[in-house]
Amino acid sequence: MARYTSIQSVGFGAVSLSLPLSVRITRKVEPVAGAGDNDVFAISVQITPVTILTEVRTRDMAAADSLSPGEQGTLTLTSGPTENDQAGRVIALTGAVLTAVELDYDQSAMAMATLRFVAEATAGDSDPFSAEDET
Amino acid sequence: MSTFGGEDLFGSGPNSIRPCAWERQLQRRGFAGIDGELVLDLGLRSRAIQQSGRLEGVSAAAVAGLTEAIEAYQDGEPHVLIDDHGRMYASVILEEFETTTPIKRGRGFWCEYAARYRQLP
Repeated sequence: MARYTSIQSVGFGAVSLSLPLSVRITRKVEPVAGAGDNDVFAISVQITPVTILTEVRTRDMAAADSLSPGEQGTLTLTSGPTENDQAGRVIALTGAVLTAVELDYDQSAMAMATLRFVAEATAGDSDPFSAEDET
Repeated sequence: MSTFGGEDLFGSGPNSIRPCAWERQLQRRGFAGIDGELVLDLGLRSRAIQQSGRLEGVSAAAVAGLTEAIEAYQDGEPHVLIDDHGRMYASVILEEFETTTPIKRGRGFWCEYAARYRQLP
């Protein structure tokens, strides 16, 4: 089983986000529960379409400053391998829309920016997320 | 399990039935300078029954089939409506039925609906 460590690079469109701390990609749906007249518990749970949310934490405040919510581009992430004979992992999220830029300046810790994205698919059945080993 | 016309039309998903107030037709007359009013009772008329719920199926065609089966009961004939509690409403006419969402895809296919019945005394 391949394991990955140390983010090597993160980019959003043409902007390179250096000094990344973490990238969290969440794939989620919201439940739509329903019950009838006589039901104590939900008897039916439907789901909303899949949403892919991404949170990037970085120390690159200047790059984060230069981005505005609403911008759209491809978010790329390369993570390094743990073994010498193993390939790294390349992840791409096409149609990523920047929804939030949070800048945290602390009294006794290094400043950190958090960028939040939601991926937009080109079609309802095309997954904007792709991941493969480096070649 | 709720039924209409003895048929399980709504069992694919959750639904709820709410009877509205009986409507009594009254004619009211007032006279200048006299307190009170004259009320002429013209009789009990009918009441509306509201239903909302969700239809679910394994395909969009299956959900469309369920809506068509319900629409077939818009025949102007009185039928018996029974709700999930087993309460029976006799002499009920299906006045209106509409889907309130497009057919969506989640776990299977589904859409929400609203129906309005008219019950006669």
